[in-house]
Amino acid sequence: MPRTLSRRTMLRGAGVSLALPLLDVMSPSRLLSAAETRTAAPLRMAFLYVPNGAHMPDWTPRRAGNQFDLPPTLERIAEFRHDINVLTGLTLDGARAHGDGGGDHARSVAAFLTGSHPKKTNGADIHNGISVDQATAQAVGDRTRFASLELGLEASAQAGNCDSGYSCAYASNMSWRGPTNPMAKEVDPGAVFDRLFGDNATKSTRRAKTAREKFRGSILDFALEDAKSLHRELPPVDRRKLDEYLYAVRDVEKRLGGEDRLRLDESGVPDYPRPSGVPRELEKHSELMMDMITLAMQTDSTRILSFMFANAGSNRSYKQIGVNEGHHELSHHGKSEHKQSQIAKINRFHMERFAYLLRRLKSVREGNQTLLENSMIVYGSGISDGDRHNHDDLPIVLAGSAGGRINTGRHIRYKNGTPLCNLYLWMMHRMGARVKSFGDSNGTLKV
Amino acid sequence: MKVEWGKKSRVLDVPNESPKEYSVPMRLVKGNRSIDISFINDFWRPNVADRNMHLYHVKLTGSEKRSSLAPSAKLPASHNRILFVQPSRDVSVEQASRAVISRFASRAFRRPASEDQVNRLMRLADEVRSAGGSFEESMQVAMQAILISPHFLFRVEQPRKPSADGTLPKISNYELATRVSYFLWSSMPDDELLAMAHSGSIREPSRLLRKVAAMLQDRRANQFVENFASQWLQIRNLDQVEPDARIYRGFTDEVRVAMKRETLTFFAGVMRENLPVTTLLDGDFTYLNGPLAKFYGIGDVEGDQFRRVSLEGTNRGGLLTHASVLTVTSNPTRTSPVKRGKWVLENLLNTPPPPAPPNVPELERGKLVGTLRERMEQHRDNPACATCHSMMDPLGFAMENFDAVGRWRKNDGRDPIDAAGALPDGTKFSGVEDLRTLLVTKRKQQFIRCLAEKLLIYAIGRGTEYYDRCAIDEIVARCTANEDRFAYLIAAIIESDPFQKQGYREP
Repeated sequence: MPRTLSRRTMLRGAGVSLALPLLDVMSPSRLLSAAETRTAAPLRMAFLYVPNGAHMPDWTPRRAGNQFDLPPTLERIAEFRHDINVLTGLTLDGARAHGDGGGDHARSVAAFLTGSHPKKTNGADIHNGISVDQATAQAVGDRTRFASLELGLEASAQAGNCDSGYSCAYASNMSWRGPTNPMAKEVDPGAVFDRLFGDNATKSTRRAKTAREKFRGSILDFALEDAKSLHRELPPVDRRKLDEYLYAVRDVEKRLGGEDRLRLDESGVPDYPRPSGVPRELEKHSELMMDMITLAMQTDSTRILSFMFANAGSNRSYKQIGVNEGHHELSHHGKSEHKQSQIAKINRFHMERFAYLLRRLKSVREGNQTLLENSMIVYGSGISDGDRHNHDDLPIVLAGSAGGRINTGRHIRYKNGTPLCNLYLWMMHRMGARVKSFGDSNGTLKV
Repeated sequence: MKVEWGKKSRVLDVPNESPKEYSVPMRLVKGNRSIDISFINDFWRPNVADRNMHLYHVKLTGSEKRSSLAPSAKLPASHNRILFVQPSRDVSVEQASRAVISRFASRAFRRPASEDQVNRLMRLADEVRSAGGSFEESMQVAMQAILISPHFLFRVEQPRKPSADGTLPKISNYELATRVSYFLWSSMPDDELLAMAHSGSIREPSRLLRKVAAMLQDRRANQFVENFASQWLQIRNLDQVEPDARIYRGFTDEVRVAMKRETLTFFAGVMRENLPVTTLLDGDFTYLNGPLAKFYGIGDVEGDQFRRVSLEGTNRGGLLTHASVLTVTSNPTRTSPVKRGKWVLENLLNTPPPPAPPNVPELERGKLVGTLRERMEQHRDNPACATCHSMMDPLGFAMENFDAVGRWRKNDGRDPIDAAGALPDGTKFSGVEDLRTLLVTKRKQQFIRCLAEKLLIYAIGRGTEYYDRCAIDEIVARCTANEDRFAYLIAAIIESDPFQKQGYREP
């Protein structure tokens, strides 16, 4: 079988981004299930973030190695103990104050995937590093229909003061396309579904394309020409806004064409009903999003995802598990036993949601492996203890065996202070991104 | 003979000798179409037979059917307003297109569209028509291009450079019209404002102020209330708060919505009646509907409609007693005097406390005991905390008679409420009424200045800088010279330098 070409490569190669007819050589690779002859299924990476750190005594296993114990929080993913590695001792130096004072929550989200130390501001002059998912997407994202997906349960804000002088852009976005470009999360599972799959009606050839669709290219040219001439006149601060605009127009363009979406009746697309918006119950919302993550990976729509259970410093209460106080308020527990037990409850709640995802991923077979095995899924937080606000010895779980390249079922204790970015660098290399370093990495992690 | 068009075909029997005209009705959709006519039963055997066909001519006649277009009487008014000229015997397609495009683009860009832009749009429309599109479709495509142009989606202002003496020139008339209308309506200028920009009358202060007064009365100013007031007072966060339902049983989604509505209506009332801005703090009236009045324990208000209600003789009056404000500054299970105090400092006095210092020391020695106030006071024993909390906490404690969803109370659990406090400068007060009085007397100037600055930031879409200080002084002075009335504050902002000129930005 000839090497299949991704559509994106095609489009790039031809130097145009529009209206190329679908070539047959490309269709078999649209779905993995149709590409049984491939020697190995692709690797995926995902990053799941939980806010406010964790109750560490309930998290850290006492024993290292493959005989490790499961404290109450990790106990919630006990059925996957042979599919995960618990990594302790990893550290996020960029999240530390370094003279910038308070705002650990916002800072730790901004740093979580970037390893950078974000510039303290609540104005327009935000500056952060590029995040591991986006850096990887820029290197190898052209192999799938979507370079990456950014998802979460709470909407992102792109401006305003969210945490002691840190912009909400920091507190609510962990994926950064560039130093000034946070990637807003999609929180509506229905919208994610629509992004992934076109509805059945789009296949109908009877419905004539409207003039607008036919002339989309010319319409875009007009707008882009306006944007280009504006670009020359604007001061640099405003250019950033215009860059966002250009990016958005091109992105929307790609999506509207429908060429990026799979059809529901295409062979191999799992039979899954379209979610109708955001459910009120957090569990249900979370489940639907986990299903979307699974679908996106399963259909090879993307191999790179990020997901935030909540924004930084979230003060959400969790009534469904009897936690009526706000999460952030509780995390400043001042060693109160009650508060610590409430936090542990929330930690277990999130861990159960994670277990749901692992279950889903493990149920999808890919050749003689499972989707979970073919993944590297980081679950954790950029804060360790919510009261101390420390950014070393972070709570991190790495699920999946990177396609059998590593052993799982271990608790690996690293020397405290080992950069979290060493893990990211290792992951990037597994994904095929040829970079020498990432963030504050000082080597690749030995996993 | 076979005639084929699209996927359809018809075979015609052509008899010997006598020529005849055949007509084949067909329906063709717009665009390039091919019609094939073929001789399908050619026959030739030497010296026996030879069949040939002679085709004399092909004539294609037809009428354009526009079944997709409704008769003009049935079209929405907006259609005829946008396509205000149609091609006809006296108006060429070219003329009609240019007229429609120029007007629509100028409206969308909030200034006259440039010659170059109109020409490029004309070419786009031409392209549609030469591919078989109708006049309407060509306009549709041109409009779509206009509506995704950055000139429509962004408020573009020509960047200006300061002159040699460092002063910046004023923005253009059209840019001013746009600033005014996005300030007060969150939307594009209406025809009148654009006409004022065109004629230059927008630069006559009395003319502009008359227009501004009319704009504040207009329904569209509700956008200003919704966007400014709910950001300033942080009541947008009401959608996210989750007070503990077991403790605060009366708090329903209906009440949640009504709380926000009360505050916005109250703000709009002060604005539209042009009352002194201090009314926001000490007004002895509010707007309630049945469910919210019941929640407050105020009788005689029935039904879902909001109406003005006098608060004389009650514990309430002014924003500090609005359930919306009191709820967004609370935790799910209890009030937070710290958050409330911080809210007052930030949003009413414009003196936000600095962020908590790094590495706040842990409260190692056992648990804090006593009432909330006592626990807070123990907390404040720590000098690192005291500097800020000695400001925040007393302000917050003054509002302790309102629970975490804004209901009046005399006790917190078993502890009686003590709403007394003193600021570091020695000012003493007890309860929300004292706090209110303090804010509208001793701290009045500071409050107006705070509001002026927040409004200015909203109006110009950028933070204020050191060089804006004189302008803010002047805005406050003009407002206080006119009995602190709301409309004068708005007018003074519109006439201020930061509003009339671009701010200098570091590149």
